[in-house]
Amino acid sequence: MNELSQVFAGGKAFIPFITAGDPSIEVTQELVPRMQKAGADLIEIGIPFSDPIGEGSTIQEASIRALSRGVNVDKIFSAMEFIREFTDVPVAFMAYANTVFSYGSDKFVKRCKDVSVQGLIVGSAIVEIMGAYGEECIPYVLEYVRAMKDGIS
Amino acid sequence: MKSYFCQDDHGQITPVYSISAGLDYPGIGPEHAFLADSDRAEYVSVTDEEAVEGFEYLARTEGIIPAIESAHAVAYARKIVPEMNRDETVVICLSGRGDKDVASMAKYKRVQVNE
Repeated sequence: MNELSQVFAGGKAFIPFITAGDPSIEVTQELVPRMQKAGADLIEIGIPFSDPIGEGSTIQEASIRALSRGVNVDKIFSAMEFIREFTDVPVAFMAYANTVFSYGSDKFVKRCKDVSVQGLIVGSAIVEIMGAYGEECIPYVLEYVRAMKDGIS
Repeated sequence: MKSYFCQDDHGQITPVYSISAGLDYPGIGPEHAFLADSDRAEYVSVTDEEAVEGFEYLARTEGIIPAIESAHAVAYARKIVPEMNRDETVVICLSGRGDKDVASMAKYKRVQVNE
């Protein structure tokens, strides 16, 4: 059983979501350990994207706030390194395909593993490239979660 | 399916603008991306001002009002035609009609119209 499956081993799990960098990356760094103390079993961290097609207005607005403060993938990985000094709470990233693709999907997945991110949700990945993500996750034992149905891109 | 998009180093899609609503989009259709990659089509840019000149030129000389999207093609044709021989032929695809663009053209030209 992998780490992400263990989160659900007891049945229900408490999984709060925050958008990285909203309102600042420093606040994100504070929130993760605090959410663990508050009982979070898994924390889902959204990586803000300019075109968050899979979100409602609340997370869209959070993404815009975070991007306007200059957050980017490198800063989020650095923040995760910092967070890992304080907590080992399971974390899953919610990202959009273009963020992972432009960073280099292999490099992205490897960095996730380096900072002990156990899950990766790629909401907008379509079938042709999704397979590649899945394969790149396997060597690092990162759980790959498919969120949207085929045909949505 | 992949295509080309205007984006920054982190893959964030950049805000774009065009006088033409149909071109006011940061990407291109994947078919165009394929045609470009396979060297079967060459893509060029045309400014708003050049497109407006193309729009007016075709309306004035041929009595045809092109869509402002198509007016970009007219504008580019006007750039290359002076370098061509008389017996060479140019085909311009007018993908749409410009009746729909008259109001936005008036706005661009700061002409008062009653819509």
